Amino acid sequence: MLRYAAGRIVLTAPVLIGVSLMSFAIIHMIPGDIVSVLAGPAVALDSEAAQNIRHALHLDQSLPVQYGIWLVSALHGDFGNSLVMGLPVGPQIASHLPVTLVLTAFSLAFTILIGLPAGVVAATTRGRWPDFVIRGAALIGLSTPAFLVGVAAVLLVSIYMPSFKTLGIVDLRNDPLGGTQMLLLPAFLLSLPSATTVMRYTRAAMLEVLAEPYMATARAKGAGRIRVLIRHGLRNALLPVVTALGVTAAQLVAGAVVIEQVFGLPGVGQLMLNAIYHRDYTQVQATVLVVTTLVVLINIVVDLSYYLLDPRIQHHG
Amino acid sequence: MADAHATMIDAPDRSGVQLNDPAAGDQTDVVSGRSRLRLNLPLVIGAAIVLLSIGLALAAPWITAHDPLEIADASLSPPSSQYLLGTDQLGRDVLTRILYAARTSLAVACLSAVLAFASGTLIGLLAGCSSGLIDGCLMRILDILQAFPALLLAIALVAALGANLPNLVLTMGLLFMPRFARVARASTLSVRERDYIIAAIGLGVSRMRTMYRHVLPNVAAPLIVETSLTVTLAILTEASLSFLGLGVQPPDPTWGGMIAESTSVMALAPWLALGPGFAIVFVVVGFNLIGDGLRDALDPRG
Repeated sequence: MLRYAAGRIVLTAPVLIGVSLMSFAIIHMIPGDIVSVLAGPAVALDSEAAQNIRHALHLDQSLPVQYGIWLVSALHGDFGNSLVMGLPVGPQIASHLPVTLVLTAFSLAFTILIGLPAGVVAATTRGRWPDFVIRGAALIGLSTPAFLVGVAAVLLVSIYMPSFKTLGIVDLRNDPLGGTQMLLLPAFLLSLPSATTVMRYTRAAMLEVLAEPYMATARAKGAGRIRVLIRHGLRNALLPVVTALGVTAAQLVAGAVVIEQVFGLPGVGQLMLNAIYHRDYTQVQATVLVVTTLVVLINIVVDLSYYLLDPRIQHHG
Repeated sequence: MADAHATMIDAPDRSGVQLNDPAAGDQTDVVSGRSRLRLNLPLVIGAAIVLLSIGLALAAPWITAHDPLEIADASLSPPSSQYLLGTDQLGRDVLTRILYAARTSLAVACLSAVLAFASGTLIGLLAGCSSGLIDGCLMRILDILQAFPALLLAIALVAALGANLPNLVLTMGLLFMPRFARVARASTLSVRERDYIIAAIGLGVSRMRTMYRHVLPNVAAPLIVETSLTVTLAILTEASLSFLGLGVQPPDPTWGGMIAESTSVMALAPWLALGPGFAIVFVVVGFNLIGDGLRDALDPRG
């Protein structure tokens, strides 16, 4: 297990370095001189104020040195100071991260709770009406942007269930229970596109497994229908589904950015968008780096779960 | 295991061409390719939806008497015979704006899909035909690009480069390029040892010509399926970006932007979000059906 885990982590290192390079590059993609973007056109580019900004951001160093400084301090948890507020951006991210994490975790749960049973039902009723209904719903789900469902849900709930609060202050630290409740509806809506992905993978995998001879054997030896489906069918169909879940995690995190905006949730998505609107590029840079690193780590966990699910890897890996 | 790792990070959510094909196994009847195309209901419906949408978008000036930026003195008027879908808070005709937004949305989505197709296929063919080192380097770069949550990278890139149409197309082209590169590489690897390729090389056909004349046509099918699915992703991404104010810039009409503008007056004029929302779902369903239909029709396993 340890050797397998170590191998996975070593393979991920180049990806993480690449991710940090790209996040670093974002600030250098801004057309024109960054100083004039930050200080406004009124500040002359060769003035002392401009030089001070350059020095503070290490812009007077060569690119590799800049990257090195940035990466080393990022590894120490120092992501630089906000260009707008002047405060360190690291604590900002830390305070916004819980909302996004809880939101993503809830939607992952919804994704599995909806996608897995729907896929199994669609596969076992293939070609009959439940299959068609589920696949039709999946087609719509796949074609609808999450923010649209969010806007519609806020509208419908406010008309038909005025007592149900959709928009409000979420404070996980001082009011964990109330805050968590506020996150349930956004998490559910966020999970819908991912649930369709998981449903499709589950259905395809189940269809393959259902045709296997061991399913007939299990039935023949007298195991119940449900037991055969779960113990013999789903267990063997899970591997591609877990792969889909890894992809889904990235989808959910990105989707969270948009859904947070719809519901006004104080997560990293809102933090990043506010930073963009205020041209606070160090904040943007740090947020992209942290969130993407999280997604890469989630994928390592998914990868390690193969080990537990598929005994073949334990023998050969 | 290196390959299993690669598919883990980037298994395309819907391409399903290399991995488990979510739609595979549906087409068990062995019929000739032509008759399957004719019987293909999803493809027919999808094509009808897409053609209708493109037609409406192109014919916009003849369908509506209004201009998308024209401001009438009746703001937030409900649907009427003069304004079929009502007007927004500035008094602009909603139907007209939906039709003109279709032009931008479809153009941006199709252009970025074509860009992703061209660059991705080229990289995939190169990686598939070249030796371990070049192949390895190209694949690691794709790993890195796909490690980012797509929308997050799109937001950051558009924010840095500036929100305008060329940057939108460039960003989404870069974002969706790895999907094509992976599909093209996997298909190339599966055909490169075939007899007809070896025969072509043996006959002295140059490398470029072998790739172009012999490899490309034989890996085209999954790439075409990928293109239509990429268009759906591009439309959804553009809509999301515009909803966040990072896509098509006001006052130009865009579906995502119209929905965003409608949220502030939602209680007064709930119909405002309805039209653009329906337009997005309608067009994306069309392209999704085309993708599913094409996959059934072109899948050699079918």
